Amino acid sequence: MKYTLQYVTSCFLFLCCLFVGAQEQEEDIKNIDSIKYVQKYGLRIGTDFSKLVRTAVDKEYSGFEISGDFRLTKKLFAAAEIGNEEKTTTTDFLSATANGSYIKLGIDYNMYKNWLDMSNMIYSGFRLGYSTFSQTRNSFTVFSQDQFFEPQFTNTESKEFNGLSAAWLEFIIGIKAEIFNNFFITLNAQLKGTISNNKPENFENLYIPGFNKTNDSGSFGVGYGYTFSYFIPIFKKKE
Amino acid sequence: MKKITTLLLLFICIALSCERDDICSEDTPTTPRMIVEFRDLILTDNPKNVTGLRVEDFEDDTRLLEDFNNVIADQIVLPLDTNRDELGVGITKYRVYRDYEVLADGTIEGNPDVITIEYGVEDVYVSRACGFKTTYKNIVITIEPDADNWMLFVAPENDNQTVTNENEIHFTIRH
Repeated sequence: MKYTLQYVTSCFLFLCCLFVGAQEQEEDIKNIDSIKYVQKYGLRIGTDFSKLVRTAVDKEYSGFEISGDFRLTKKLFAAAEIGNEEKTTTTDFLSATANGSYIKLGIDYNMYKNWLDMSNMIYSGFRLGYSTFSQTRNSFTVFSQDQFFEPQFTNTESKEFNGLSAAWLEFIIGIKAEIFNNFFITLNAQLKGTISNNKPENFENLYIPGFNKTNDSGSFGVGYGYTFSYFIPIFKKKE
Repeated sequence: MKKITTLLLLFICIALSCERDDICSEDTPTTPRMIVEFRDLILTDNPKNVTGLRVEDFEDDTRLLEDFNNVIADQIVLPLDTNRDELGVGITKYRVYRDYEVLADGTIEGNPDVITIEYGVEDVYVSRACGFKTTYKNIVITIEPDADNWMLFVAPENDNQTVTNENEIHFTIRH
């Protein structure tokens, strides 16, 4: 009786293992046969961690960004970011605060050929960005090469310029690594050029939320992102 | 994989260090100074030199314009004070000597005339690096009357003369 029970239990456990094993094996065999791996499709949602850190350490900055991308084909991803930023720009003669929201829409293209069924990315892509914001001129000191009369006049009366907007095109290069199951870290660098930039009268946009710092010498800007994101699998496709 | 990561890091470093230092170039026209030319009293188109010309601050005679310390010249370039009152009116006063001379015993010879310049100001945005400059309009120059004025007449070069750059003569003083 005792032996019978042991025999049955062992058999059951063994079969269980076999069954589970068989399932995996079945998939593997299929994959090897066709040299195709299961690719996960779904939505990846994340936030830019660098903006959160900067908000904590930089007194002149606060901002956050939510990003998402959806896999369209094996290599193409539709991507978007929305965010809000407030940044004070201070130079020797000028202080101004920009505050506003932005949206960026575009495509990422994965250039990296993954091993097996991994889904890391080395990608490049583009975004179309648009931002609406306000800019407040906090103070300025008149600039004069000649310093016979010192100090020069300083205006501390703040002036707000509302209803500003800017649009830009952005080129992105980056890397996405799956560090845990469905959990990704993204590092990217962005090169931007303004398409339109609605400037306030007798002033200019020193900082555009989403675009970052503007430049005296041209319409180019740069940026970076360090994003933590979670991938929500929706369906699977072979290859 | 490693190569690409290195490249990417390099790209980010370059992108971050690309931010310019934003120093206002000396070639950029910022707050202008006022250019005054001395002319002949009768032949009013002819520049006329002033000898022993010295320009000093009215409030503090130890502060002087270094370029105009006992020189012979037919033009002076005057910085204007950018500070103003609540109504946006600024005042700058200069003491301008003709035939300035310091004698051996330390006494100062010469004919000082005082000019008062009153003006409205306007702050104009230049660039991120240079910030704002001040330009001047509604300018009135008065020669303070004294017993022996060498400056006889002051005239703007144009109607509603403004001072927005240093490329032109703004006022003339006849003597």
